[in-house]
Amino acid sequence: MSLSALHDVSVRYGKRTALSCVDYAVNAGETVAVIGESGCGKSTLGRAIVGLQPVAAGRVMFKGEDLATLNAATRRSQRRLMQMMFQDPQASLNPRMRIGETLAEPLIVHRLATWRSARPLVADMLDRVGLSSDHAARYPHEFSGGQRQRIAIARAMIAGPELVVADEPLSALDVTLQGQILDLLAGMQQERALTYVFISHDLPVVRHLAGRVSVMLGGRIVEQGPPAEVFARPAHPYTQALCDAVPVADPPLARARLAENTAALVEGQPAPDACPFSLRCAHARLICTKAMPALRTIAAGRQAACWLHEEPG
Amino acid sequence: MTAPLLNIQGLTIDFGDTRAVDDISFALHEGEAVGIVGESGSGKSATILAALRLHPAGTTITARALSFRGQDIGALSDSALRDLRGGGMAMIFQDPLTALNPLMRIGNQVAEVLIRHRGFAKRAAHVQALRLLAQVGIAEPELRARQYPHEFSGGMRQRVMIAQALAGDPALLIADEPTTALDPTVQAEIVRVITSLRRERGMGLIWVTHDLALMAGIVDRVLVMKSGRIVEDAAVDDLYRAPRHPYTRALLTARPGMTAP
Amino acid sequence: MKPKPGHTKVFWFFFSKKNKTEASSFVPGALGAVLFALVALCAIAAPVIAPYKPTTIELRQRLMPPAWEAAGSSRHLLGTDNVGRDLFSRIVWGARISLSVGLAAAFLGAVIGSALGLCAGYFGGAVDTVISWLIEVQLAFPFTLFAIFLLAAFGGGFLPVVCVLALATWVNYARVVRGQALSLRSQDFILAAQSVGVGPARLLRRYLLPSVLPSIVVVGSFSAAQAILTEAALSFLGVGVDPTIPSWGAMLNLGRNYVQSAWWMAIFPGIAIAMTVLGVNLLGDWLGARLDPRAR
Repeated sequence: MSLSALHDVSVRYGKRTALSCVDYAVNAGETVAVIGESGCGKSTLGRAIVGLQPVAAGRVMFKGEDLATLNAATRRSQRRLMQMMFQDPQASLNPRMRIGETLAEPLIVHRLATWRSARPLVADMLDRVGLSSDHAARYPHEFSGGQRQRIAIARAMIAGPELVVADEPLSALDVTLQGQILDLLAGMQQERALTYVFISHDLPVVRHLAGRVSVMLGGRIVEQGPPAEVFARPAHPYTQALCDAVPVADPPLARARLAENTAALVEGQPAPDACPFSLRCAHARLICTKAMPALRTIAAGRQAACWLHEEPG
Repeated sequence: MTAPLLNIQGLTIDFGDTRAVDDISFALHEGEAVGIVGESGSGKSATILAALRLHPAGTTITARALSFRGQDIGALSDSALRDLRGGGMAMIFQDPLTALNPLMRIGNQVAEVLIRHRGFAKRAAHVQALRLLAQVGIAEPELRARQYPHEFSGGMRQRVMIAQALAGDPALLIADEPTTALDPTVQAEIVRVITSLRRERGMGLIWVTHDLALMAGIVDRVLVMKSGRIVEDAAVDDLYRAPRHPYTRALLTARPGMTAP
Repeated sequence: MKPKPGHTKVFWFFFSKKNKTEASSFVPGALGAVLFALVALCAIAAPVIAPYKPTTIELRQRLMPPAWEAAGSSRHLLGTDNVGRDLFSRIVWGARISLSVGLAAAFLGAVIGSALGLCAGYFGGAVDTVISWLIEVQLAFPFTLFAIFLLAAFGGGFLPVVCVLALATWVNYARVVRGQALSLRSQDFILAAQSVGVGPARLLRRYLLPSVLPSIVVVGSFSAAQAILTEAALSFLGVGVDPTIPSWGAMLNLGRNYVQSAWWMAIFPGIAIAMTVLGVNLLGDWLGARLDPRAR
């Protein structure tokens, strides 16, 4: 049984479809990543996994139970086990609460401690993430970006979750700090037997971290598999485009890439049922503009949703 | 020997008590492309804002030399400075949404630069504006020119900003993190647009970023800044192959690559 | 006794010249503070400041003009009314009514309006529909007329007047707070707290309320001004707090009949009302600019 699973989930904001019939599963102990560009639905997927996103259709399961069928009390206790780290650590902290209170809150809410007994626990956690216990009396705006990210990690971990969804945990950080935060996250995963879902658009980091990556486009998953393989031999043209866009620290190679010809920018929305990449794809055929294929297994551990891999019918 | 396009010698910038830039020097020649790499607090943005005298109030700037084509930037009158900005040196920023006027049609915003900086007549300016929009890769420019910024995506807005910058036919284009807020595929497109246009026009380029890998194919030379100082200044191929300063090495190794370790 | 750190900070924040963004916003604010302080002083120290009891009738001194007029006397600074009561004392004592009613009504209105506004904005759905409907109904309703009718039917008195005024002003708070709560609801720090499992009660109290508090304070100062004015109108119409205690509105009503012969009876209460309302409004304006998070 997967730790978290989405069955045929759709999410709509008014007329716009953010997730379209998505099936997704995460097993205990895995580190998985979801990548894609703005508007692909990856953040919505992350929120759906932890039950923060109302869904228009489909079921969101955690430990085998449909979140929608739980009563309020059970849902709250399940909340403790799945936490989310938000994209902008500053925006996700209450600016009018000292961080000692912010960190103690999960413990209080889940009745793991009282305000008094929480204090040493908060101090321990601050220490664990590389801050000091005096920091508990300060407000979020008094910290640097890197420190706020550590606070966000501390808050996510303090109540002892099993699943942590991290939405772009490194994007707000300086390059030299990113390694430290990754190490912190890796260390905590080992200590606490955590399952991670990373949401990112940063391919090299994903390749380094995740055991499985899902590529999203237009509210759907278009490719899935182990990152090293997926990035080395992409099955979906969009994944290829994402890989091509990663800057490479090799000047002659980079210059050669830039010299390649590109078609002029194409803007516009593809038809609702069509493949979201159909307007930009070099391999697009007529059927791509009419219908979207399902996500199919094309090799061991690899799935793709592309007409290139469908049997001619 | 002709004067360098941009000459900065002994530049020091203070915001009140804090020293943002500490005695840096570099010169950029006609047609050269330089990248300035640094993390937050390195002083990279402060440096180029000072070059255009766009620094915030309360900043103290001292320099042995701060000149454009031999002309002292600090001594320019306000109107000469306005001519320089947009005419000789043009700048594009990270967030095109706030840099564009939300209430003005795109075509008019580009045309305005042509009218003010190159003395175009109104009709000719609009014709040229369409040409510029096409040059930056916007399809159906006649249609797009009548739209407003909020109808454009981030990448498109950035292209518009580039078109505006190029309208003044600058000798030097300064780009301050132009692609940081954009998706990776869009980022790659914008990089293409800027590099190809630069080559066509023989413009000088300063590209400021925190992403060292990004600059590899774009620039001829890289300046690495840390805490207000330039710690390394090398030709791009040399820098990536054999970085000399430990900080440069740290920047290069900080991020994982796309190939097996 | 050492003041709590929070207290001194607030004091410094409000009155420090160094923090001012522009002189133009400081001067009206200071003026408002001065006016308000004057009125408050009168209200609090009435027994000390007023030379006479406000109800002392001295028929031989009736209808005396202010001290600077020919027939006036320095014993009655602003003159006397038609039954010889000292006008100055009555105005000083009248401040008690105006301020206490104004502040009590503003406070009660704030509590009711903010609570309803927060619930409407945060919970949305049916709760919001009902509360929004209530707001719309009240706005469309000629409330002051209704208030006058109610009070005339049930008699005046401090508590009824305060309740009626609070009912008149709660809508101001509710609208502002509801709007803010709606926009705050989707912000990341609320979502993050929800993901932790924080329940609605704590979310409202510890997350939303502190963020909307500046707006409540600003609306509060304007509502207080509105309440003071309305109370004066109610007193003027004879359905005010208590006819035996002097109220500026009642004094206006009385002075109405003597406008030609004893103009001071109406003018000075009128000035008092205007000064108070102006002071509270200016103070509210200034507070609004200060508490704006942009200034941070």
